[in-house]
Amino acid sequence: MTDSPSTQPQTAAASLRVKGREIDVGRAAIGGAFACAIVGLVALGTAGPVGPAPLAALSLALAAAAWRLRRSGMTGAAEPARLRTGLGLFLVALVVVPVHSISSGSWLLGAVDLLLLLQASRLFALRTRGARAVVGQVLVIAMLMLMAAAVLTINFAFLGAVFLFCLVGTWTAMFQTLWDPAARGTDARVPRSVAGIAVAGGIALFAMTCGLFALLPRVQFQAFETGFLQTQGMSGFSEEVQLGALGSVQQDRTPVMRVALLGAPMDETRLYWRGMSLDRYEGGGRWRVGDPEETEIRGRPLFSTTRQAFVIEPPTASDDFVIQDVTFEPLDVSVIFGLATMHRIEGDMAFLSRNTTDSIFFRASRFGRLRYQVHSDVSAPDAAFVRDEAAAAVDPRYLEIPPELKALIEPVARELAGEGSPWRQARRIETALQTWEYSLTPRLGNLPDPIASFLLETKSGWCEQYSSSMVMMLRALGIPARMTNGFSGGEKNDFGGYWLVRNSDAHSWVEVPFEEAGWVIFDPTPGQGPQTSRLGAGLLRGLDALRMFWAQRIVEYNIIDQFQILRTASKRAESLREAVAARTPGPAGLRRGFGVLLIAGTLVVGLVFAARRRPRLPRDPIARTAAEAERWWRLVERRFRRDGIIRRAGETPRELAARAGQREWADLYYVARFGVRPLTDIERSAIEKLRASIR
Amino acid sequence: MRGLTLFAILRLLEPPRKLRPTRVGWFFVGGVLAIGLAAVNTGNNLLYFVLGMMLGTIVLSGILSERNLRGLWVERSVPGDVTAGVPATLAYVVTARRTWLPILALTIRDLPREKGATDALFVRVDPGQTRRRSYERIFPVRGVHTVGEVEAATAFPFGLFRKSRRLGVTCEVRVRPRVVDVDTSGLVGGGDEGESRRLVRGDGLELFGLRDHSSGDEARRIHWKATARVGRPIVKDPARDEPPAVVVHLALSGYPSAPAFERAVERAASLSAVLLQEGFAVGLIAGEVSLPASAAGSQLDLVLDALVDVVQGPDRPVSLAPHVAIVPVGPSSVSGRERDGALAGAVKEAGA
Repeated sequence: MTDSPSTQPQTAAASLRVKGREIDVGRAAIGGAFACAIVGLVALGTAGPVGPAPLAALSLALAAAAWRLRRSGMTGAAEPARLRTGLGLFLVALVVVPVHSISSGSWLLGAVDLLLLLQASRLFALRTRGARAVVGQVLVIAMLMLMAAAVLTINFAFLGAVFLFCLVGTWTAMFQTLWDPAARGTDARVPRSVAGIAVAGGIALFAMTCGLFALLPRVQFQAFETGFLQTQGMSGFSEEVQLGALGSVQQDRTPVMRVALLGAPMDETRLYWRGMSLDRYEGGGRWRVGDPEETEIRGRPLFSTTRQAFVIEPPTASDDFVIQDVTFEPLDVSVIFGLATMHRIEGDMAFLSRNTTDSIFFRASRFGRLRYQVHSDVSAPDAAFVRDEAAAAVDPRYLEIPPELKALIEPVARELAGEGSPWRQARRIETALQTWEYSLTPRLGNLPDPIASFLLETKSGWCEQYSSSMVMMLRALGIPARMTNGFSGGEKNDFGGYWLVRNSDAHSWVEVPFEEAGWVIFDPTPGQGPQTSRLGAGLLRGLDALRMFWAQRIVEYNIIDQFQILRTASKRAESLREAVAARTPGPAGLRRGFGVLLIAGTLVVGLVFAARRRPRLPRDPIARTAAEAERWWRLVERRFRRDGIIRRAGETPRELAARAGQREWADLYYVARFGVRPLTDIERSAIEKLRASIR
Repeated sequence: MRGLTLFAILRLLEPPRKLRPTRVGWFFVGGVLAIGLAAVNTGNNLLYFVLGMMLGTIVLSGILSERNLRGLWVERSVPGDVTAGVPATLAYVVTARRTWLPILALTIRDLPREKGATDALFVRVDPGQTRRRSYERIFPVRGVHTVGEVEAATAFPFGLFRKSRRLGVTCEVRVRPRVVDVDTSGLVGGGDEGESRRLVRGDGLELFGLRDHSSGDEARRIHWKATARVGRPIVKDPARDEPPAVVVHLALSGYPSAPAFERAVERAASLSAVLLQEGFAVGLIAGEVSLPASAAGSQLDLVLDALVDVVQGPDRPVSLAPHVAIVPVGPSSVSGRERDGALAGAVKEAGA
């Protein structure tokens, strides 16, 4: 194959020059390959289970390969055998991959190690003669790394990795396709506009990715379970709790859940996210659930096979339900948190159960963040009504108290509670305790039992001690009570419209049962009622809202969300229909209105389509005449072909027209096509006659 | 429905664009299916993200490849001297009729595709620019061939799919008969060189004769001796050497088969070439075709070009000047019974 340099066309109007600098295709492809490798690394970096060591190793390899390439350039030689067959690589893989797979209990992590090793090998091969193919290999491995990260992570930084991969992947694939290592000169370069197309294409690809993500239907077969995510450990919410467990949790500011409040409004100073209740105190600061028996709560599937609705309490006449849309971080705890009294729970949960202290446990359908909705009746008992109400007759275990402890604390309880109804007594104890000192590091007392020590000696402590003490005092007075652990308050993110609850919001309070009002909350901890605040600076709010959006709308996006989108679209269409009907009353008017819209829309689309099909003519009159001449000369040739006169190789328009006996047509063509002056009227009318005759 | 054959109907039903995955593209499609299955199985939304990205890549590939094939103008450049059975160098001339983006990674091939043919690759054609790429093609049979459509294809942007479109670039190619070796023993050096040449009146150094002076004759042509002898102006008539004239007479009928006729045409072409090379003035008679004998440099081109169009048909009687020899080429010429002696005799006779 031979080629001649590009030639300029004859007419000045048609000549164009490539402006600006050009881009070397090979370098662009190799640069893109390195960028893909970095993005793959970043994607895996968002996945906690991968670990820093393999990622650091690939980072070093990447830096070394880039440095070597920059320093020594392309070798032009074939890939060395040690890179291609990679005996050392193989041996490393043979050892590292199985070890990591077994130690982590996940074959995927072993596979990720193999990917990282392969990527390192390919990066060093980018200097060799077969670099074009190696660029493709690097791109493919980076994509596999992205896929692995998709399985291993739920971090919202993954979205950024996808965006970056759309950009660099498009760039790399495009330039790799254009790269011909044997090309020289202009064939080895492309204008900057091609780079612009690569970038624009990447952005368009990301937009399409988001659109397709929303549209692809969510059906979940779950033929194979996956369990790759690590969970955070969290104490204080099991069926056996040692006083102090919650205190350690309160040191930590890790987010636990994000809760959006929907439905009926409520007093935001009463945000007690109930978790685990404990009814038996065994002394020495040890609480547990006396009767660990659990009752399964049957769920009703919603749309998909894994999302279910669970009814906790029978429906009531009250419609003051507060709906909490909870996005729960992957924690090593299986308790449902929500506002009391929970009536209904919906979520992607395989199993719900309830124990004898009204704590709800779940087993999720899959690992990862858990999103669920809790419908709670938070209507506060009428204070005047409850004031004189008797305590409910509940299980006697809510009255259990170790005798030796009762002997010690009963006098204190009577002193603080005074006389009156159970509610009044509880209220007085709560109020009294709230005047004591709050401290996470109280001094140690001498009494062996921490509750006795707290009540009689230190009078200083944190929420567990206050709630435990109040429960024991109430029981000493013959009032049933239980201790409940959960979270209180949180940080309000106005930007995202939700509450961010952290480990530091862990709290303990008291619940006392009443005949009509049910379990009522008392919080004796001084100055530590639900601490609500606004989440800090705008950037932090925005970032956390992004995390929430990511968790709810992306990671937990499901078929119900898709139906909601369809419902919203349907409502909007209905609104549009009503708006049109309002302007054009009557069914006929409505049909007319939509008919006009449809016709107008079709016309617009048709005009745009027709305009795009026909290439635009130049504005310059002489260039326009030349372009028009080309068009109608093509019609002339087509007319000749129909008459059996086919243009011969190298035959000029004049020769062809002479053969066809229409020489004057060729003369007109030359004047119009190559003339440097506007056409005369006579020439114009002759051309019109010619065009009419060839139609 | 005249002319609307089944082929034409099928051609009409063909889509304007064809799309086929490349080898890498098949792997990519397999990957899409695998990720789709994984996403549906696990319900992992981040895998749906990856799936959306891969599906979006396919959509983007379709859009950009379509854009790449628009504004494309292809012409074919064919040489004037194409010979049957000999590789001819043709060329595709591609013009990017657009104002912004170049056409990238374009391949062009003739349709229907010849066995062993290679595609012409245009790595880049800038907006408004024209690029030319040569390629070889063999036309095995002489005659007028109509070379039709070409297929313009591109794997741009990602090399996953190959999109192609047909372009009508019809033109005629006149394929000449081959010139092969013929046994010319007896034709060359058969007699005295001087005897085979003929003097005719013309501008030359030889003397054709003497004649009376007439108005317009130049003074330098006066033959003084003859003038002195005769007593009236006598001028020299110059003469020029005329090569011996031979006309190759190709019979158009009586052949047992079409290949036999083609062999005869080849023989006629080959004889013309050899005779011209030997200095003869060669002409051609083949049915209606009648080329006068000439030894001009372009005579072989004229003979070969005339032989492109000859087909079997009725013969016409031949009448030539006595000094012109006829070299017959007919069914017997190509049946294996060569009559070189008679041929040489005919040539010698032409020189007499």
